[in-house]
Amino acid sequence: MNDPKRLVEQEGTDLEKLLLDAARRERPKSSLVPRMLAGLGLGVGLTQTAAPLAAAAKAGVGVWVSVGLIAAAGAGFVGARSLAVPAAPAPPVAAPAITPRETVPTALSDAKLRDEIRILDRARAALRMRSAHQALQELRQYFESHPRGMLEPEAAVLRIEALRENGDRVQAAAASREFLARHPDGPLADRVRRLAEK
Amino acid sequence: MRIRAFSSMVGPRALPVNGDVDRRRLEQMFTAHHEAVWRTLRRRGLSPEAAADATQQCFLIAAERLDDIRKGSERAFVLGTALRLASTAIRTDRRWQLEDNMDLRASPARADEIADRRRAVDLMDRVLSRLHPDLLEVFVLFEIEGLPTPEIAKMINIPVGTAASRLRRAREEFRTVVGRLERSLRREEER
Repeated sequence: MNDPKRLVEQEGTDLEKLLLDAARRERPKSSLVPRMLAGLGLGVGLTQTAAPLAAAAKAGVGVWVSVGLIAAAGAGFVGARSLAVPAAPAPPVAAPAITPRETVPTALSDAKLRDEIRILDRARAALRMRSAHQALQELRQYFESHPRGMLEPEAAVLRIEALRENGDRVQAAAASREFLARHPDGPLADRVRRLAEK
Repeated sequence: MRIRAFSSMVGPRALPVNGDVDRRRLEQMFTAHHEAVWRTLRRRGLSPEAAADATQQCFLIAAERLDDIRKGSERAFVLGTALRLASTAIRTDRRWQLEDNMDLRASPARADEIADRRRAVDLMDRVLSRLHPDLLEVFVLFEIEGLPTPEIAKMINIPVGTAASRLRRAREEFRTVVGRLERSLRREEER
């Protein structure tokens, strides 16, 4: 069975193509990606590549980070003041290597967020080395430096893990209960519940 | 089926022997597919932030079931998971109402304003909200994410003929709604 041509490639009207093209080009804003990565424990690459990325941003090249690789955020929509439609983009399955962009993503200039990620990376690395005490120190620094941090849920879960690793089950259980009270439906809630069941 | 706790990906206790391999695979999956997952969740009605949370959840599930995901079927797994998550998430995070009398032009009022991408996306979502969810899934995966109908059929567990039929009906509905909108915009411009 042959698939029909996609509307954006051939058959669609100008307005149909315009709407489809806008939807195909939509990307999560750059500040959301580090948060997703941190929640997945994949943030190390971001911290390591932050400096060259900031330099590239200063040079006027829009960049976007993903798991230590540089991926494009997609070309900005060229908004003609008519219903004219730009050439259809390639199917957005994989991001190209790098693409010029009109604006510099805000997250890259956001030193605060980078600092949050850096501290959590250190805490995570300490946990991997089974140094729960060091991890808890890093997390203490995180909560002192970023009382309303964007990555507070991820930090809280790391703290629960560090407390457990440190053998402090009572505090870990209390921290788990507190976390679930604040984030009962958050993406990390199931993970905390599973930790609590162990 | 072996379920590995996600903590093994980030914690020190149960890091699997092939942890680095799994980690790289998860990173590759995220790099290749997180945008499509996020967009698909957005088209199902989630706000950007809620879609990011659900995308994260989607890859957390992928991390837990990494051993069960066949090589080459990563996209199908994460997008299929996203669709299931969306069914739950949209109950608590609707951005719009689906009443039949909803004004499609509520946000962008003039054709020239639609050229703004954000407004166009908003308008697109309003158009899509008129489609039945079953049709919407197939339409989004085919027209926006560029998947072939056999892959879509496999992903949502329906026969290929049903997927093709849903796509045909979805396109008819989409074109009808956009046609109405276009006529309305032209009338607006002529005034």
